[in-house]
Amino acid sequence: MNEKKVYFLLFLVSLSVFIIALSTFINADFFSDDYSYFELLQAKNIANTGFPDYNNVLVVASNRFVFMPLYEYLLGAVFAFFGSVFSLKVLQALILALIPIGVFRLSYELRGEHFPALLSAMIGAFVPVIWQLSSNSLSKIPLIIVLMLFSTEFYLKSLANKKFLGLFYVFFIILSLTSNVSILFVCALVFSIFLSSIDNKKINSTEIELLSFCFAVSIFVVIITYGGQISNIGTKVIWLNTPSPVLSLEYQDFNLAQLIYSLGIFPMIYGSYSIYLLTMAQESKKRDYVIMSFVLMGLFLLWLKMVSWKIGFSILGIYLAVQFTDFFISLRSSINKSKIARFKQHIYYVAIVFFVIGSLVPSLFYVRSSLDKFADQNLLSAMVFLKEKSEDGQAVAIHPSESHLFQYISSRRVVIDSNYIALVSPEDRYFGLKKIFTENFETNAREILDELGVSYVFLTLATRKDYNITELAYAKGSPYFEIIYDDGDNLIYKYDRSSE
Amino acid sequence: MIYMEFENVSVGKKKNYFLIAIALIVLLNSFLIFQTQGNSIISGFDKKIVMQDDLPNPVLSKFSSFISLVSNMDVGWLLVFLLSNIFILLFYFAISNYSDSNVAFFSSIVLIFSPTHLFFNSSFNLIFLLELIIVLIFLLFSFKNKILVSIGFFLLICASFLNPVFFIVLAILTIFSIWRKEEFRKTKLFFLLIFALCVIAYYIIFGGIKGQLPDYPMHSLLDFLFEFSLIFGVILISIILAVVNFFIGSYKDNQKKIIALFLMGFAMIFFSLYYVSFLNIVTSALCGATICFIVFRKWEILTVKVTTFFIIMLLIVYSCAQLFYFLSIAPPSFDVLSELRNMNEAGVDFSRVISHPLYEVYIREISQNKGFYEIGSSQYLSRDFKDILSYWNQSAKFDSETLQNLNNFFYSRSIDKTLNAGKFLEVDYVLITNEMRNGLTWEKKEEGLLFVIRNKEVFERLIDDENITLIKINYDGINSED
Repeated sequence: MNEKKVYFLLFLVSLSVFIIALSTFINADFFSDDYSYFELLQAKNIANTGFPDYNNVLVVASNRFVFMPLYEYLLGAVFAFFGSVFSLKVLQALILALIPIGVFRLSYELRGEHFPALLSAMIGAFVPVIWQLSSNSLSKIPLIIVLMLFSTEFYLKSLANKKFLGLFYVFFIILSLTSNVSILFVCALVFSIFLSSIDNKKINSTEIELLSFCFAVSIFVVIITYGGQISNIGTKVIWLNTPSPVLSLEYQDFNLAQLIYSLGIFPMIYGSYSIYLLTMAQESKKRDYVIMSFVLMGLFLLWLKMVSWKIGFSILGIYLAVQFTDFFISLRSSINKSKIARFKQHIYYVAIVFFVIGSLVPSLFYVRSSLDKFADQNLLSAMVFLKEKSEDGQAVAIHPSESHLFQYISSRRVVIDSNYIALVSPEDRYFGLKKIFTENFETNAREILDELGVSYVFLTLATRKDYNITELAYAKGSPYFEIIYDDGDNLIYKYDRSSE
Repeated sequence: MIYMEFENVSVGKKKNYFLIAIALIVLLNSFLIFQTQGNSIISGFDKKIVMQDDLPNPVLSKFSSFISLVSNMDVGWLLVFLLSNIFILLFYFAISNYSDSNVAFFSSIVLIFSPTHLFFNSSFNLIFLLELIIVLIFLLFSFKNKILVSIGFFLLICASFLNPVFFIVLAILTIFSIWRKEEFRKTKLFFLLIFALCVIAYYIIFGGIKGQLPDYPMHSLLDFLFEFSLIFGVILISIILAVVNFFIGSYKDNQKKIIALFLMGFAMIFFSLYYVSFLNIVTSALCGATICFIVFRKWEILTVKVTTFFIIMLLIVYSCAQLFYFLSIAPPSFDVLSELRNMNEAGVDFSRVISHPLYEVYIREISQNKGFYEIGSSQYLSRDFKDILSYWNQSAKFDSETLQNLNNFFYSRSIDKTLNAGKFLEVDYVLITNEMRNGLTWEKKEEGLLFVIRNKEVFERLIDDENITLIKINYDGINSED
C-alpha cells in the first residue's frame, strides 16, 4: 500500500472517530458522567476569572482543592473564545481524533512501516475502555493518552537525534501539568532502562539524562501541586484521599474478564504474544523495551492499585495497540516463511474480524450506552426547583454521583462530591451521607444533618437504587421534615431545625 | 553498577573556593537556624529532652543532666548557634576527607536545608549532641593519622553506652576493617564480640534499644518522610537521590561503608523515629554526592543538566520553606504559651492538669506542675487525640483501664462517666485550648467533654478566654447539688 493511501486511510480513521464522538455529543442532552460538569464549572470559572476554582466552596466544610489544571485551562480558553459548551464538545472530539494519529506516529517510529502502523492506529482508535470513559464526556483521559503517545515518540526520536529534544520537553511538561500520570511515564522509562541493562544493552548517556529530567519535572510538579495536601493526608494522597469503600468498589472489577472486555480480546492476545516474542527474542531493540515497559508498568501499578483503573486500562489499551505493529510484522514474516503463505490474505481477513468483534463492536456499544441518560429532564426540573427554593450557601444531601451536576445547575453546597482530596476525613463524610439516606431514627439523622449543616435531602432515582430506599424512614410524621417536591422519581425533603 | 567519570573543576583557585564555600555554609546555616529560634514547637522539644530525668540508661541520664544544666543558662541560644555551625563544619570536613570538597559542599547545603537538621539542631537537646558526637567521630575516622583515628575509636567505644547507634557504627567500621585487612583479624573479631556482649547486656539491663530515645507514633513505613505529615523527617527527593548514589559510587572505597550506615539509619527508625536525625546525616551525604555528580558530570544535553539541577535544588529549598510554614501555623500558639506563663506567675496551685499530650511539656515546664502523661510534645504535633489513644493502645503505653478512662474523660457526654474517669485518673484540672476544640481533640462543637463542661458548678472555669480555658473539677459539685 502506498504512502498516500495510508495517510488518506489514517485521515479517514481519525475523521470517523471525530464524527462518532461529535455525533454522540450532539445526540445527548446530558454528558454521560457527573465529572464532566465539574470540568464545565472549572472551564467557566477560568473563562470568567482566569483561574480555576480551587476553593471548593460548593462542598460542606471543604479544604482548598488541588488538581493539575492544564486540561481545565484548555477548556476554559476555548470556552472564553467561542462562548459555548458545544465548542468544548468539538474540542473533546478533536482530541479523541488525535489518538489514532498518535498511535500511527509512534508505531511508525518503532518499525518504520506504514501499513502495520495504520492497522495499529485503527486498533488504537477503537480501544473499548477509552470510549467507555470518554464518549460523551469531558474527560481528560484522551488528552493524557495523546500526550503520552507524543512524549514517547519524541523520547525515542530524541535518543537518536537531539533536534527532537525541544518537542519532547514541551510534550512531557504539558503531560506533567495535565496529570500525575507523568509518574507512570517515569516509572516506565526506569523499567525500560532496567530491561535494557539486564539484556546487556549499553545504557546511552542521553537515556539517563532524559530520565533525570523527566523524574525531576514530574516529582517537582507533583510536590508543588500536592505538597500542602501531602502534609495533611499523608500517603493517602496517592489515592487522592478516596475513601476505602469507593476505592474497593472501583477496583472490584479488576480481573482478567474485565480486562479482556475493556481492552478487547484481540489486543490482549497479540499483546501477550508480542511480549512473549520480545522476551524470547535473541536480539531485541531497546525501543521495544520502552513500549513493553509501558504495558508491564501499567499492569504492575494497576495490580498495586497505585494508578486509577481508568488511566491504567486506557494506557494498557493504547500501548497494546502500538504493540500490534510488532506483532503484525512478526506474524507476516512467519506466514511468509510457512506453507500457508498463499492463504495470508485470508489470515488478514480473520484478523480484521477479530478487530471488529473484539474492539470495534465493544467500542460502539460503549458509544451507544453513553447516550443512555445519566440524567433526565425530571431530575433537571427537580434541581432547578431546589435552586429556586433554597438560598445561597445552604447545603443539600444528594447522591455523590450527581453532586457535580447539581452544583453546576444550582450552585448550592453538597455534602460530598468526587473530589475527596479536599476533605479532611472523606470516609466519615461518605458514611455520614449514607446514614442520612438510610438511618431509621430521627435523632441520629438530625445529629448528622446538624453537624453538616444540611437543609435539604434530595432523593433521586440513583439514590433510591443505590441505597435501596424509597423514602426517608425517619422523616415519616416528623415535624422537622417536609416533602417539598415529589414527581414520582425525585423526592426533596426540607429539614427545618426550628420546628418543635 | 553504572559508573560514570567525574569531570572535576579546576583546582587552581581551590583555596579561594574553599573559603567561599565555608563562609556560605556558615552564613546559610546561621540564617536558617536564626529563623527557627523562638518557635514554640522547637523550644518545646528542647524542654522535653531537657526534662528527660527518668532515662533508664545511667550514662545517658548523666549526659541529659549536663544538657539540662547548660540549657538553663542564659547563653543557651549562643551555644546553639556555635554548636550548630561547628556541627555543619565538622560534617563538611568529614565528607571532604571521605570524598572531595565539591561533594562536601553540596552535601552540607542539603543538610542545612533539611527539615530534620533545622528542627533538631536549632536548640540545645540530646539528639543534637548525639549527632554532634557522631559527626565528630566520622571526622576523626576520616583522617589518616593513627592518633586521631584512635581517639575516634576510643570516643566511639565510650559513646556506645550513650546510644546503641554508636555501637552499630563501631560494629560496621570494625567489620569493614576486618574484611579488608587480614592483620589481627581474629583478635579484632574477638574483642568486638566481647564488647558486643557487654553492650548488649548493658542495654538489656537499662531499657533495651527501644527505651534509649523517646517513642514516636509511626503509622506506616513512609511516616519517616518529611512530606508525609511530619514536622521533621527526611525529604523524599533526598532519599531518592541517596539511593541513586548507591550506583554512582561517589565515595569510592568508603561507598559500601556509607551504604551500610544508610541502611543502619533506616533500620533504626523502627526503634524510634528520632533516629531519623542520623539517617538524615547519611542521606544528606549521599544526596549531596549525587547532586555533585549531576553538576560535574559531562552532560550530552546541557539544558537537561541545568533544568534537572535547578528543579532538584528547588525541591530541597521548597521542603525547607514548607517546614517554616508548618512552624508558623503549628500549635501551641504563642498566646497559649503566654497564658500558661501567666498562670505560673499568678501562683495558681494545681496538682494535676490534663490536656492534649502536646501541651504536657508546657504544663510541666512553664507552669512548674507535675504533668499527667510524663511524655513529650513534639511527636504529638497535629495528631488527633483519638489517633494517639489508638497508638497507645497498640503500643501498650498505658494499661487498658487507664486508656478506657482517658477515652471516657475526653469523649463521654455523661457527667458521671467523666467524673468517674477523672477520679480514676486523679485529675483536678483540665486545660482546653482553641486548637483542641478545632480538631486536635474534638471535631464537633459539643463533643464529649465540651458538652459536659457546660455544668459550671462541677467544672469551674478559672480562666476562660479566646485562647484557653482552664477548668477546676469539683468532684463534690454533683453531691452538693443533690
